Amino acid sequence: MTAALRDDERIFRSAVFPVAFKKKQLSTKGFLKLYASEDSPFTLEMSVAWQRFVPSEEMVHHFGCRLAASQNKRRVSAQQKADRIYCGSYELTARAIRSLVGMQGLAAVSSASILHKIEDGEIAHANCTINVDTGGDEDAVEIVKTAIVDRLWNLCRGPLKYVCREDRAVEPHPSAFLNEAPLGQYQDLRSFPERTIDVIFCHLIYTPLALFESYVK
Amino acid sequence: MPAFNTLVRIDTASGNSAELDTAANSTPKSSYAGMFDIAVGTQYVIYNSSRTDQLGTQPRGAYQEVAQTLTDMRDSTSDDEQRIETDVYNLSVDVAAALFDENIPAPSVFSHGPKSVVFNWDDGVHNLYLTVGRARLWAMASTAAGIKGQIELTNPANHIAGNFFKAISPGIAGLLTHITK
Repeated sequence: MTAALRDDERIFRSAVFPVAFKKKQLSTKGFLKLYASEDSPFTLEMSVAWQRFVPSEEMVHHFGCRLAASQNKRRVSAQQKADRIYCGSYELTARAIRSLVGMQGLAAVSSASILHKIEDGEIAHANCTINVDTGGDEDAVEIVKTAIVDRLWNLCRGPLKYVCREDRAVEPHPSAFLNEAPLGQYQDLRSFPERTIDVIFCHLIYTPLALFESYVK
Repeated sequence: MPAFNTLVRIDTASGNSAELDTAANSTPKSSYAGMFDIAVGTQYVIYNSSRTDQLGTQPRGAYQEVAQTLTDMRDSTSDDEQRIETDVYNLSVDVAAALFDENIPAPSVFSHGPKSVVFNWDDGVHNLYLTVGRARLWAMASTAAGIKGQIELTNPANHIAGNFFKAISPGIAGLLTHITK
């Protein structure tokens, strides 16, 4: 399933940091990580969770906890400390991603899109894709990344802090050091019945449909 | 006329040193040997020609944490999203050493992946970023309303030199002015 998200759709970006986050002078903004795609250094990608498939805060956090667990699993395989901790999530909208095109100071951004794409078994995973044109200057992509991170940070709400079950003994938990986003705290504006309907639709319609589509593809 | 600095990197194993930036007629008056000696086999000595009165006021611990963060990033595994390349590490440590020498408050740090590190100062209104690549350096200023300006501080030979030291000499406020003018 590669459906494009509507502008008003909400997405969440997980903040996963080392245990020693903050003590190490790490910036909260580091959670907005843009990777060059395998196809081109001028195509940047960022993974997020689509609210349609994580319609409750609890589900958003479980997504983040699984993300940190998978990172720790890879670190253990590489004989490194499993020190990654999910600290919480920040909320953006699909509109925020698309609004990067034409934004002041971001002339190099030529297109931006966000598509639902199941990855590593995560049904909620959506992929933000941002194409940049720096006239073939690969190194200059790095300053464009900084500009994108700056603008996205200013369009974030949150954090929704959380302590995963396996991290309850960590004291102090690094989630305490997450900075508040410029747009303020996240507020779920859906009514209780709306949230309930979204959860029911997620389990009974969206998830089975997405699994079916990924299976037949 | 702001003073230029002399930044020397010394290989503690061989004793060889490499001058990273020089200024004519500068006379070293103080040194901070060992300040950035977390990198194995490397020691950074920073000489300052005129700001000895202010040196020592900058919290040493915060810059040691910056150095430790950069070292951890360099030593991460290849698939770790925090990992940075050795070239990026070397240049970012040089930049951090120069910032320390200019008595600039320690930045927070994040990476974009292996090819760059970003130093960030955020006072709640203004944001200043130094993006450090493999051999290039850019500065950018922004507020919530938008990006106010960005410039490359690397000279044509792709070395941090006069442009960078001139830019940071007036401190954070001066660098913001320099970018946004």
